[in-house]
Amino acid sequence: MNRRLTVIGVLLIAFLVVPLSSQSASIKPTGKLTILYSNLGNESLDCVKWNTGQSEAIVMSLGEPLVNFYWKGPALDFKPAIASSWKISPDLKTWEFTIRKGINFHDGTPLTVQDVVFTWNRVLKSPLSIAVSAKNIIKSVEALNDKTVLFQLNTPDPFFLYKASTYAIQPKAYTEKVGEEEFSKKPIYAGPWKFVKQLQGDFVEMEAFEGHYRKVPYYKTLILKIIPEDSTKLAMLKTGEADIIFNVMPGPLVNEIRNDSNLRLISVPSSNETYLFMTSLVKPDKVSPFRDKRVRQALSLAIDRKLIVEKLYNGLGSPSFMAAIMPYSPMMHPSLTPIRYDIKKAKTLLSEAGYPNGFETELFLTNTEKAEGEAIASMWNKIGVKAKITLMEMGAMLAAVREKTLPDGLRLSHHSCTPAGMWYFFRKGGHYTVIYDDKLEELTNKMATIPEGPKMYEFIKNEMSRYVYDLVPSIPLVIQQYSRGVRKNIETSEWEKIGTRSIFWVPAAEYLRPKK
Amino acid sequence: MQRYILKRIFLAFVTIYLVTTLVFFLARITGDPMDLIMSAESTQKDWDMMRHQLGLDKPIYLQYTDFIAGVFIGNFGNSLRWDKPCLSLILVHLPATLQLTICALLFSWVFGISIGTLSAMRPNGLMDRFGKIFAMLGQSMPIFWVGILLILTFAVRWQIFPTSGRGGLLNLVLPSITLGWYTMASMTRMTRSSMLDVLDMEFIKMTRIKGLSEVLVICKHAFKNAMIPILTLGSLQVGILLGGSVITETIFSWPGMGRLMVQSVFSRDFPLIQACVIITSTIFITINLLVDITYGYIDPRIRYQ
Repeated sequence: MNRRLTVIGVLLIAFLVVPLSSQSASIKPTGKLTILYSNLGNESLDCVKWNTGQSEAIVMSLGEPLVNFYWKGPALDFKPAIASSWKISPDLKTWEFTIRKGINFHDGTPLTVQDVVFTWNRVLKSPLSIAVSAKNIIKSVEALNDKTVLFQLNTPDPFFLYKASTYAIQPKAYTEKVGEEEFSKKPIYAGPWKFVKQLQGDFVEMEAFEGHYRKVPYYKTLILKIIPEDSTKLAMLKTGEADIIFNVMPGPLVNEIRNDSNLRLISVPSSNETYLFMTSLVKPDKVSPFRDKRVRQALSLAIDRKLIVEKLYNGLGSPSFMAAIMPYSPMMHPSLTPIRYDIKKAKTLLSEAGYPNGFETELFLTNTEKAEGEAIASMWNKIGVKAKITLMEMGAMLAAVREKTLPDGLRLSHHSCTPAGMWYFFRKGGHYTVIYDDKLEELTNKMATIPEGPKMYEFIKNEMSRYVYDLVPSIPLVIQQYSRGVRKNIETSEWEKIGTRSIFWVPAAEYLRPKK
Repeated sequence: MQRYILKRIFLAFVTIYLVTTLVFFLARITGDPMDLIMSAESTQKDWDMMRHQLGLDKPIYLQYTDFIAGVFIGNFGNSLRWDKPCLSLILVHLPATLQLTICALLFSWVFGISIGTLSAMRPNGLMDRFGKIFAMLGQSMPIFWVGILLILTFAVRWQIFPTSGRGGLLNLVLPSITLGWYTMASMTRMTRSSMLDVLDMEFIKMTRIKGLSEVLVICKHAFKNAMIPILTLGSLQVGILLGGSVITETIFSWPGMGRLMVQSVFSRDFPLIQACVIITSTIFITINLLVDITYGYIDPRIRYQ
């Protein structure tokens, strides 16, 4: 009897195990995935030395931060990563992260709280750290015990989770053994992809990390390749030498991809708003027509946003009507309506403000923004506002904006429509501040005392959105959509479902799989 | 001859030194690289720390003397963008550029000299007309346009060659044609006119009267005498091709020094710009020097004493 039971038991186990093993065999990483970028920033492999969003694509593929965030709109969606959970003190100054057990680095060594403390102490010491805002508010990072890391902040910060998501955790023992220089050549992290090789200015090759706790990639090899030329990118995608163009900018490339039966254009939601800010609004003593909100409202009314989206963005965007607040989101009051293109009303407002014949101003642009700037300038011509276009090189523009040396005029720029974005744009003295307004600053500071979530969104909707709409601290233009050119033999459903991992540039290639 | 060679070597060193100085100051006119390196939110302390790390806090004359002293021992400093020694970055990318330049040069010389010679043998004949059109196209079409056209035709439409990147021999074909066509055009015209001059000379008529075969007349007697201007042009073409590789490498995503140089300019990477320019110009000056010296050995009429 016992023997018979044993045999039945073995058979049952066999029946259960065979399908399971064949299933795990079916997700064995295989094949190669090539993703094209126009550039990858400074291409640093060191998690504290990447300096632009593009370079984060490399480090965040190799590594894993404390928390991951995904963007599907209208707000950031934070998910546990190396930290399985977190606790925030009521004053928003103490953040406690519980470190997940069982995470291994690529060399098989387990990730511990000491690795987290080590990485973040490197962040605090590096002058190149991109999360300077994080660095400047952190008082200390320490291990409370073998599973908890404590961040003490100098000031309350409701957006600290975003900052905690910007650095991949590196192994303390390995880094100390090989040194920082060697680490930056052969890094080890705990992300879904392992480093294989790199040729600066050309490509980075990675391999699937089969021991990853969150997601084992479907592809064996991932290549992030730098191709600055659009036509070369398109040729590579058409011939199958590449699988994805990661950032398809509006232009001829969009139609080429749309018209090819082997390719797809996938648009992903973004929080990025193109807007115009008025340089004098951050200089309290400066006399400028833009001080009068009727002038700002008039300029906003005189822009045909639908036409801009259709002609200059190839339809990959939507008209925006709120500075730094996502339209149609829980943060916007339902009584607010889109800005209608209305020349007559714009002229009336200009007359009321004392400019019946318009005025002359300057529009500061970099070369890539020229077409959009010219379109806006020609629209303003109809209300008598003559905007002279001044083209500047990117480095010179960054310096002029930082030092606030641009003369009275307008600058085309991009910002994030999130509460964290509002925190940067509406408080005085910041590098990204668009206006000095006492009431707006007071409201923003009040918003920042509420932890990010539904309560904060409710506050923005009821207390802030109507004020911002009426104030026009900056002129909203377009909410961009990010577009990717993908070959049809790539299965993207899982990838599209998660939205955008981390900030826009991270490929999240572990969610892509070959089509059967 | 020896004195001449020594004099030319000395002048080559002076030229390289002048290029080194010029590039040091010109690179700095583009602006402050810190604007592109630092985050907008960086504190003054971060800026000071980074400036110190990069040596940009020193007075310009000290930066210059440090730079010159470094160049003499092959130390061009670290790239601001990639945080790696410039020389090692260049050594990784230089072979790709040299490979492309040599292939383009071979394409230019082999086809240019052949078509030029055949054109000279039958002026206004079919080959001469074809050569004229071919040369005119090569001279008038911009490199970036030729490159894109070749990619669309041979890589995308017919899929004979890869679109871009460095790999096997097939990867070399399209970028070599793109880069070499321009120089091949001038080589064709120069060979044709030089050969026509020589073929009209008395000694060539004499070889024909003596009954030598046309192949022998052209290859042995005429070509050798027509070589001086062709050699001069050929050496100058090395410089044109090294410079032209900047565009070709960008279109074909060729991981060479040209692309590296473009990236370093856009990121205001002074040390890397300096290193790339110095090494490219040193190669160019050295080749010119070698060609000047070779003249004396090829043509016995040339004596430099």
